[in-house]
Amino acid sequence: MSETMNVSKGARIEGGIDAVVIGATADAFAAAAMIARSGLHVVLIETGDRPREKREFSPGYFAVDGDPLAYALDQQVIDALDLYRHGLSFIARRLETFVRFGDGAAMTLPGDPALAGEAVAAFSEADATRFADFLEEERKTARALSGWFSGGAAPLIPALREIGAASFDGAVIGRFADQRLEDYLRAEASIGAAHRSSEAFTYLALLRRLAGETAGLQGGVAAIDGGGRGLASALRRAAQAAGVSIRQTDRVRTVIVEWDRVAGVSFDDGGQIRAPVIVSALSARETFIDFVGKARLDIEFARLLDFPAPTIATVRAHLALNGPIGDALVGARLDRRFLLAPSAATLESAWRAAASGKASNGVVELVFPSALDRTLAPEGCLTAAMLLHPVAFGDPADEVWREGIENVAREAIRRVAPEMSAEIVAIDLDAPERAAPPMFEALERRRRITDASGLEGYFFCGPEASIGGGVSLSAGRRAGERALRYFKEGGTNP
Amino acid sequence: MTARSKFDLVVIGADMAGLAAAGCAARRGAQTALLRTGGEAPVEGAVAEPPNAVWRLLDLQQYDLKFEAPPVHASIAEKRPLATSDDPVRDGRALASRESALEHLWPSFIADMGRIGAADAVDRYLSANAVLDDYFADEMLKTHALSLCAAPFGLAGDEAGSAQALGVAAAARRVIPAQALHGALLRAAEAAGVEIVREKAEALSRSENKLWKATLDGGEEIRAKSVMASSALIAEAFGLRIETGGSPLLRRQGVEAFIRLRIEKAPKSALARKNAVFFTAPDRAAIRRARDAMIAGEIDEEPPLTFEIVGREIIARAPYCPARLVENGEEREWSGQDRQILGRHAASVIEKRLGGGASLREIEVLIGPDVGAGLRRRDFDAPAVPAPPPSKDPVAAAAALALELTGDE
Amino acid sequence: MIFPAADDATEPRATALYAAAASVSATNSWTSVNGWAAARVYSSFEEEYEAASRDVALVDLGPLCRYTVRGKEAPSFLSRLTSCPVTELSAAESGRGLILNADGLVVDLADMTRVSGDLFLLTTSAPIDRRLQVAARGFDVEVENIAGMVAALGLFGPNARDAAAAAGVDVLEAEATAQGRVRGVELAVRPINLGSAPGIEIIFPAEDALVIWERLRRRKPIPAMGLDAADALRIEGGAPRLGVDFIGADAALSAEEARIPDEIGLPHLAPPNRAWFNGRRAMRNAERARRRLVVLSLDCDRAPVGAAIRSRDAVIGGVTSAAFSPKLKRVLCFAEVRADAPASDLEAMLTPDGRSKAAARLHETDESRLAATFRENLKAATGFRRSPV
Repeated sequence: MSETMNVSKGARIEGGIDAVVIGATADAFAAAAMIARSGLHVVLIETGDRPREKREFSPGYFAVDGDPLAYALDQQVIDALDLYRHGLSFIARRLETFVRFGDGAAMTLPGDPALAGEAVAAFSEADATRFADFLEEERKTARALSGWFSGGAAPLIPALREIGAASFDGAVIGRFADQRLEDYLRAEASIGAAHRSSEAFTYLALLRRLAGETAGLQGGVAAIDGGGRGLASALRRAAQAAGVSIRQTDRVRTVIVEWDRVAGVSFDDGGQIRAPVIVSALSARETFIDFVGKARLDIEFARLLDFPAPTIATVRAHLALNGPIGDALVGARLDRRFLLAPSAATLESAWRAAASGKASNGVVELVFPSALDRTLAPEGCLTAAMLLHPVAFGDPADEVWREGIENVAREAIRRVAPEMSAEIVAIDLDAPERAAPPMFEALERRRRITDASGLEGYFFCGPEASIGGGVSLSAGRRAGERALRYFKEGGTNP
Repeated sequence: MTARSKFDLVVIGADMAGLAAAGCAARRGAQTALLRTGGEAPVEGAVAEPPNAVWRLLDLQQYDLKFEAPPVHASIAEKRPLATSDDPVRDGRALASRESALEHLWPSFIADMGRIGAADAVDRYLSANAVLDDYFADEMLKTHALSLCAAPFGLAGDEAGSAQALGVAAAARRVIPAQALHGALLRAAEAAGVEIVREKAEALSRSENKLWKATLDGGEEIRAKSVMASSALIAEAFGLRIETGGSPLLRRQGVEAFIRLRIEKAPKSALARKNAVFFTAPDRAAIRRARDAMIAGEIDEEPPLTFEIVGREIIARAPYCPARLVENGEEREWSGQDRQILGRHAASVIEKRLGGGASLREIEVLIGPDVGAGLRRRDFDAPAVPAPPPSKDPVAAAAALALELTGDE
Repeated sequence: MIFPAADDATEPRATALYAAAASVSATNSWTSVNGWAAARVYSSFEEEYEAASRDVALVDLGPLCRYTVRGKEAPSFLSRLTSCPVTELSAAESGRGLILNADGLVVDLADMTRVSGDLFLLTTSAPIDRRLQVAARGFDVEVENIAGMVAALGLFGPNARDAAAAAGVDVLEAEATAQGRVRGVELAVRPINLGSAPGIEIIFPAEDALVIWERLRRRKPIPAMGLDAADALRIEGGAPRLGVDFIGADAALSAEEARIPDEIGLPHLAPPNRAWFNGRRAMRNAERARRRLVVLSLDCDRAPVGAAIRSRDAVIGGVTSAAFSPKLKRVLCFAEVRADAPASDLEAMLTPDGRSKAAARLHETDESRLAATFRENLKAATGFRRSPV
């Protein structure tokens, strides 16, 4: 059974290629480079959402796409592709986190979570040891789970069922004398999640956060030089160095399936690239439904790809500030990560508001990119990038939705820095990102989507293959490794 | 005063589940004590027939228990009630009058939901709403399924993992009036030699030599080799850290209220004469509103209710009630006036649903155990206490756990 | 198509033909199949078996599950759902196949008839409404369960066609399905088999049930056949019964309970080299069959279900269903045996203590012949077009 195609006149059929990678994400480049460095001829088709160059969202103010922070950057990819040599660098390897609570109090947590005890002691003497012990214990558990989070098999821990099903509230409420410490942890666990902290399966999100390792530090946060763009260009250089040919012109129409194997991709103009290995970094729906078609997928598999429409989202807002921040506590050092950790009740009303399509103040993660890269704002001015969560999933073209979010963003920065003297001269919103399903569901779905399509030679590292927010490259590495193994075990010549 | 101070097993929570668990453990030869927490729900309505193993161990045939046909569960927000029973095939046929596809879809839904807790089911992480939307288009049917399955756990259907509540959609084949079964289990537990402690439990801890120590109301202490809770809800409201084997159905917020109403003027409606449990929720949005009001600390004006008619009385449950009320940002406990307001709301909802000029008067409003208060008091240094996973048949679940615990010895 | 196992419905429903069937039932022995009332025996097992194997017998096929599948993508939808290459059926042709789940395990048997260009009639043993609901997403098809709207009447035996022709309802041309109007009644006729007995199936609106029944029996009172006699014919034909000889994958509590096509003796219905259908990829990667359903003839008059089958003193399997075959004067049974079990020196333990036992031999059936040919030459076998069952 072969694909019948009308190859129009002049359309090329290209052969001699070992692998095609579809997508323009960091994972796509990581996968392509991982495969190419073993000597395979790889073509990467840069399609889908391409990271944009830094853009001027207000005169003199620039926003950078992607996450400026990294929580869990796959060390194996960095080493294998020698990304440091290709330009990856960190501005800060251990970013401090400044936490502002709902009542206005503040706490600064050091970049190294192992030192959290002292910082907490200054905030709540009674909880210092308890908090440090808790963090240490949970980092240990998280370490045992980290392979699972990054794409490996579930570990054989007897408590996994209990931990996995636990709600954040069930696991944490009552641990500390000062409830604001719960609020801090809840904020960390809630960013990007689709469910309230009282619901089942939500505790795992905190462990996911603690499991991440960047620049050799588990549970730490690092700032990448150049933000998401910095990482993207390092990966691109690594891919080019490994011999990947990058094409930007083509739009993939279908993935050619011959019998049960993929055999290449076809394009709108009728052209084809024949290759025994295809890696897709596009969404699961595009990868399977659009490129292959439901009629060639198992019924049970196709059903996995039917996600309910999102209602909750996270949105990133870029703010232009026309002067120094002013607030003494915040302004003391801007090269930190700022977190607004509201009380449980405030966060709860944010959930209700988001679920009913309105905007309200929830958790806010804030950084000042211009404090890390001076070129992003005019002299003496600032840019701020904040993640707002939870918000209603909406259309950025919808004025009412935009306005609601912008108001929340305005209020949020004043909550973090109440004494702020600068004025907000512009706000720019990225498209909302749908909130993530509970970790357990996401992990199970990922396992099935990456393993169970039944199409030989087809590998997946799209968004559904990454668990937890932030860029990690693990999905790209796993897809690359699997593709290589398949190729070497004779995928080409059965 | 207790006769002994050291036991093999202490069961916390003197409800039916606790009685059955303690009785079974004692029959297995374990020195067993049963402790009250004060969070036990009132004994009302009818409950599923205990599983055979419990029946045999406790020789329940001695107590002359009367079985009843299981009640029909009926949502009565629309003109024509939507009812389900213990027989999904028959229900499917009846539902076919709403939409012909339901005839087979409903039985296969019930069968599928029976498997939803299985380790390889992706659906078990989903919300009940996501699963219901995947099967059905009929909003009333989906609302009915939530009233039947999710409401007892205080869930509104949009929570992660709430799909697992749908696993108990099929009703029991036979039921026993709760009062009678409670009496029988109490006598059976006594006969089995369970020490039923009069004083309320105050606190539980574990000493260095691994013995559990329960402190009673009067200051007395009893010790035990192992401990279990009769239900997750009671244990958490009491302030215990529990382990339920990974069930996502734990209630974390709000309480259930029990409302007794007197029928001043009986409705003409024929509904009132059936052996039935009625649900008043008109749609899923109403359930979600009530749940949100519960979280916000407000009394919903049209609370979704589950009620039965017993003679001249109506016994109603309001599953989505706040544990504490919030007024102007301040929390406060339930006052007598608040209870009256809830009672009046409940009476008016039921009057409206029964129609035919029914007139009801509230007699009593009880507020169930509050998990939230317990969560704050937990001792994280003590190991977690085993509790049966939340279930539609709590007696069976607790007994199974007791047998598992005593079987190891 | 084969009836699935009887169920325990407390109030089975009347099929369209129930009133007619009840009027000729001497034994009044009923059971429930898919929630429909089905007769076990009308007069006697022997009489009914005799009629179907030498002359003609009527069977109420109402308890089977029937769906119409309509729409532009109906052929590709059914080709995905079942192992039958439906796209290759031309109008009026029928085919059969298996429904597999994504793990390559058998869910049900399926018969398909292409009534016209984009209208298909799908018959299955057990209801698969939920599977159809999920499978139809994203396809331009409309699926409707029509079991309650139609009457289905089977005529089986060597004289089935003559009997139909005599009643004026044989609108069959050659081997194809025909649709037509016969004296005011809209009906569809198609060839089917019940195990070893060839026959035809007549499907018509439920409200005309009695008209057709009477018309068929006007010239001579064709006897009706119940489940018991049908079961004997089924085993003779080598057709396994859902819920009796194997458990459907959607009803199985674990994958361990479910079976792959080769294990139920029907590998020829789901060839791994056929164009893609649901579960085929998994089937290719599946472990080899560990057990196999076979038909055995036992030298005895009756044999209990569950009786152990032994070979050279080792138990190799057990009986899953059995019936006395008046033709062979032996019991024919389905037994599930280890796939590596020897084919000779077999005996059935008729009592658990083994005091009463019977010699057992592999019995060749239409299906087992197809399966054997298929296994020998995977590529040559084509078993989907109107072969037995």
